[in-house]
Amino acid sequence: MLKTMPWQTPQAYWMQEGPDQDVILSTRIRLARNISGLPYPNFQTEENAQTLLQEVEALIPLLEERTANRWQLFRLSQLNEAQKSILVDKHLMSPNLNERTSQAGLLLREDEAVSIMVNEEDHLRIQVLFSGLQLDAAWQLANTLDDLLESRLDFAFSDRYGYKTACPTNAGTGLRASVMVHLPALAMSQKIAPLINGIHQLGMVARGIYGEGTEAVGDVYQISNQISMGKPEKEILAGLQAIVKQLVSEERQARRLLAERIPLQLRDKVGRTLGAVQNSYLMQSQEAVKRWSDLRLGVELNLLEYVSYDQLNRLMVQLQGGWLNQVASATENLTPEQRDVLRAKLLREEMQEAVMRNMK
Amino acid sequence: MLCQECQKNQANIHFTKMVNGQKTETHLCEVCAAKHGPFNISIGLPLPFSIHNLLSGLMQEEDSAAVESNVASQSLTCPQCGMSYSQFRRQGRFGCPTCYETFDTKLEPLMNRIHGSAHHDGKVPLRGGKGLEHRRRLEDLKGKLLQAVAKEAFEEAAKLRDEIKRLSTEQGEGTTC
Repeated sequence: MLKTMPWQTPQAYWMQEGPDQDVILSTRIRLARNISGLPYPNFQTEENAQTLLQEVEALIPLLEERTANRWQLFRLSQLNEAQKSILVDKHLMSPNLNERTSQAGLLLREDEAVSIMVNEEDHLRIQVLFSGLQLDAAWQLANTLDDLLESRLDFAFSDRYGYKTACPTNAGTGLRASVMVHLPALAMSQKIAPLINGIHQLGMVARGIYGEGTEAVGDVYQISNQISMGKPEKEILAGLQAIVKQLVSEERQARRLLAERIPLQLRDKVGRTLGAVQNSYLMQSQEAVKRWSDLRLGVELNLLEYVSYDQLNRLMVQLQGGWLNQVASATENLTPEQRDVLRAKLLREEMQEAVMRNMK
Repeated sequence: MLCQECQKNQANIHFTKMVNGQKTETHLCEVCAAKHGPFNISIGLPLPFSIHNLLSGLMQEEDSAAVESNVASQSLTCPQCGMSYSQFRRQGRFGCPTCYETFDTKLEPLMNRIHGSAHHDGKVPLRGGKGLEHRRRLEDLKGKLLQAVAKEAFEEAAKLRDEIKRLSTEQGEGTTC
């Protein structure tokens, strides 16, 4: 049993300080694994699904012994909507897992660096989530955990096609590595569209995490590998690392250029944002994401010394519906307007407090 | 706004269609929208197509290119989970791990299209994949042996030859995978 339930705090492991955190929010490694002889979750019986959940739960003593950390399996059927939304917003599980409530489970390590989804599209999806850019370290941990699980479970594997996943797009290594980046200066310089295009041509995928397509709200993008077969894991990771490093340096360069050319406009943008969030009483989620991005830009440009990256990371969870519902301890969902009131209050108080701290 | 079809539920799916500059808008509730076929509607992710629709498209293209073998492949059915090839093609997802062997003949072009390769070159599970690990090591050693011979480094070549011999007998003795 974990001491603190993951939905009781908006804080997660990946939110702490990390390498290249001025551009990179987090690094995720995901390995898709399946059990030999069992139909994939989309086609399995309720009974198969429950058996797998029990088998996974039985691995907890081994995991606790080897990783010096507590673990717990959560059955999604036993969580309420707000709790599940918070787990999604903290990136500990996918929205897809949320839709499979009756059969799905989430095996979580207490520090929240590791979450293993059970009966998502694949039987197991091992996820490691670290702060900043840490592809190698995250891969090493995922790899070790994979070995450990494999010592007890019979993973479906083919010499030719590698790990047999439910969807052919994940076959081979079963590896999806993603890096979440904040690119406000490149967005202001109208460079996002050609960059996304270029990234696609290099066999990687870039997509906005808020909003759709190229019209990403908040300028937060997730860059991941598209190809999972034909190359060793290290090579896939090295490819992604190279692209992300390049992005980091281009974003920094764009920030420097903007700071040189339009310093007043930047200061004005950040200052107005700070004024708005300290004086708003209604805020829709779209606006919150936009404000959040501008506040982060302020921190990135050293214009807001008293706001920290981990605070902003935490706000990504707090400004969303799940957390707001939980704060209101509502048994039923808040109405959109009630949410907007609460969201504005939360952001207002958070920033007023930061400003006060600074004045002392 | 109410759903244009059932006139009962709130319309929260909105389609805009542009044909030759002619714009038509449709406002539906999720229930009615789901009846409209190839739209994958999931709350929070209103993507018009899922990856599986795209895959299905890829596979159909493959098949029309190989019409003769088409008839035979349509009747392929996985002995483990009962998934037929046409079902796999429609859904773009396997039913169980055994489907990989069942549809083996159809997978190479599909994997090539998706990944640019149809051969795994990454991690091998310690338990299930001993055979592959072994073969990879052997291939690696044989490559080195050729290089050593080409360089006339005979001492090194002899060592490599012995190592290859040892590995080959080891594999013959037991690993089944």
